[in-house]
Amino acid sequence: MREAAWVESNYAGLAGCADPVAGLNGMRERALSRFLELGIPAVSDEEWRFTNLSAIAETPFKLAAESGSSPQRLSEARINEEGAIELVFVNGFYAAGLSSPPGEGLTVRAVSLAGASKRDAGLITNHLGSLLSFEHKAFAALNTAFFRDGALVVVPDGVKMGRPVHLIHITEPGAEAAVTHPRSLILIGADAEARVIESYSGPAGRPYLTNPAVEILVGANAHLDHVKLQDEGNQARHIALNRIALERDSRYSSNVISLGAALMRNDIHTALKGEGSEVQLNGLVLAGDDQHIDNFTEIEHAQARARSQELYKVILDQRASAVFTGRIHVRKGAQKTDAIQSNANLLLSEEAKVDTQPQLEIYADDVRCTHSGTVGQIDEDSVFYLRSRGVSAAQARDILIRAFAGDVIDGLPSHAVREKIEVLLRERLRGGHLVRAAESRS
Amino acid sequence: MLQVINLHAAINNQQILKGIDLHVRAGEVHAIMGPNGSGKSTLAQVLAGREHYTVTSGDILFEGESLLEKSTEQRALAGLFLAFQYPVEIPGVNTAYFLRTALNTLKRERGEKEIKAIEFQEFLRSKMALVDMDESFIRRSVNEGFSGGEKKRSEILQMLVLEPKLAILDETDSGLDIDALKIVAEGVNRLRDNRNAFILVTHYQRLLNMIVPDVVHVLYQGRIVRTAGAELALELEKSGYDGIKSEFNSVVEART
Repeated sequence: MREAAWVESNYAGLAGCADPVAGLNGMRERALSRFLELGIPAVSDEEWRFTNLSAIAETPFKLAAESGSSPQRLSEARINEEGAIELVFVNGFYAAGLSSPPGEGLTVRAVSLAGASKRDAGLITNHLGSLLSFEHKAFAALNTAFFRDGALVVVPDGVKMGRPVHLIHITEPGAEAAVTHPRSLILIGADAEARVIESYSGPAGRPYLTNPAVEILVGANAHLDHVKLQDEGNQARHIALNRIALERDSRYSSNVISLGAALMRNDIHTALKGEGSEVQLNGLVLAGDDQHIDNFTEIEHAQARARSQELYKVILDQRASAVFTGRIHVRKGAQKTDAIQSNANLLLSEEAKVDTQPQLEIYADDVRCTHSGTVGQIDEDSVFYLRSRGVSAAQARDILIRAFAGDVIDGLPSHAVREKIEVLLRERLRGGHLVRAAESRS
Repeated sequence: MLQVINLHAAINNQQILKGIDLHVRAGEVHAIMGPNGSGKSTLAQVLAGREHYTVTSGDILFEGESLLEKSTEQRALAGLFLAFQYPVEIPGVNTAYFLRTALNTLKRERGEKEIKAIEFQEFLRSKMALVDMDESFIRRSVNEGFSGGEKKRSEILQMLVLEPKLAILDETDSGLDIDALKIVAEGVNRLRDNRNAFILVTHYQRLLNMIVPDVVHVLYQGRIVRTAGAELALELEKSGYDGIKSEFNSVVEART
């Protein structure tokens, strides 16, 4: 089959490569054989109806080699926040020299998986792969089979972190199309509080594939705010899996900002495993040219009295396309579930295209689930109103686009992150249209 | 200040304005009255540069220059202001931010120094007091969730902030209770001086009791059919438009 040849050519010689972390006990081999069984999903697969991966199947990638990073790219990726803990991964390898981990001896750990201490090795053995199953997800299998490194973030019980942890993933492809599979594990103890920011970037004009997988456990009564900033190069493909489990009375917010990549699929599965837990999934998509951005979200209400709110705002220009899937499962017994889902799409061109799919499966009777999906254009009456006050037509449109994204941006968990997104958004707005990041910076 | 010359305008090939002549000088207040559907709002929108409408002939001169080739924002920057009959709700656009952006655009145009955020807040608060606007106004989105009265007061507030040379109030009085009407009238009277001018588009006499116009026009079927002093509004209040309608229709019949 073609996947076997693809794997052989991409990862030649890796079969005998040592596991990056101990205790995987053959998990990688199982993942690889499962990937070969599953294959790269085709559009005939219900979950991939609107996202065509044939370009990936046809591209010979090479597992990226260790590399330095362009200083400019790193500085652009940084978030200007005092005291931020930064772990930098270049081509999927931990770059110790570029990182600023928390000091030794602190209870909070933010380290590379491969560099984890003996005491943390046990945590990795226990948790890695516990939330992310590769049984039905080809790219989960691929990540598990070939990840080289990633982050381990451990916030012990009761620790309330003021400063954020920023995981910076940069791809610096060589001559060939590069592939990386960063793998991260984030463990937030009971009653703890933390903020984690993930960012992904790479050069424009170079094809590469980023296939991250993140597993997050939020302990009882804990609170985690999570931001993902996807600002990959314009020929990159980004196929990510995120698995989050919430214990009793915990809170988790996910804020996925999608700016870059030729193709993105961000798959989030949040399990509300404890009573009274609460999740907020926010997303903002800004896509132009031929970008294709697919947000696939699932929320599983497994226990009673849990709340979920989902808000995805999508702005498309030129021939860009976007998919939003919002699956909500309410299990039997998950009474008093409160789930609100909203997906709004703003189209700035005639050719832009969007598919929005709410999928509600409800097996409890005392629940409140609402969803809405809208697709629209810039309101010309509003443009006229703003212009009648002297604001130019171009600026009026930019103001209205910013306003559309407003509730997602305002919901971001820190001032520094909001500022960063505001700047990135401003850079890309030009008179009611989106321009490429590269153009806006030149 | 404003000269409208034989103005014809159409929407979707339907002629709405059929030859309007209007001359408004600095220091004057003109009222434009007339029954529903006579073209009053169209005139207001055409003056503001709404692109839905096509000017098929005639001209609009503002301080001697034709507005026809000018965009809506260029007209605003030249000193024209339209208080909307139905102000648009714009969620996500903060009112104070928007007004400061508009004011600073104007200031740049006039070669004046821009106003800083903090300074603007003070300035805006002083204007808010004049139209009895609640403190929360500063934080709210443009017109979002405003009551009808709040929207109209917000229009007047914007007018007070932007200090236009010519303000066109399109049925700002409709749907207002007497207190709100007073606020609107006070706003106009406060701004009114010998360097600016107002056009009040209205159905009713009651606003004109509070803002006494210099000239009253009656617009009917796309034409100004009568022009007189403030007493015309009183007369219309008493006898309605029927007299004018039948007079006009008999003239039209006589022509055909």
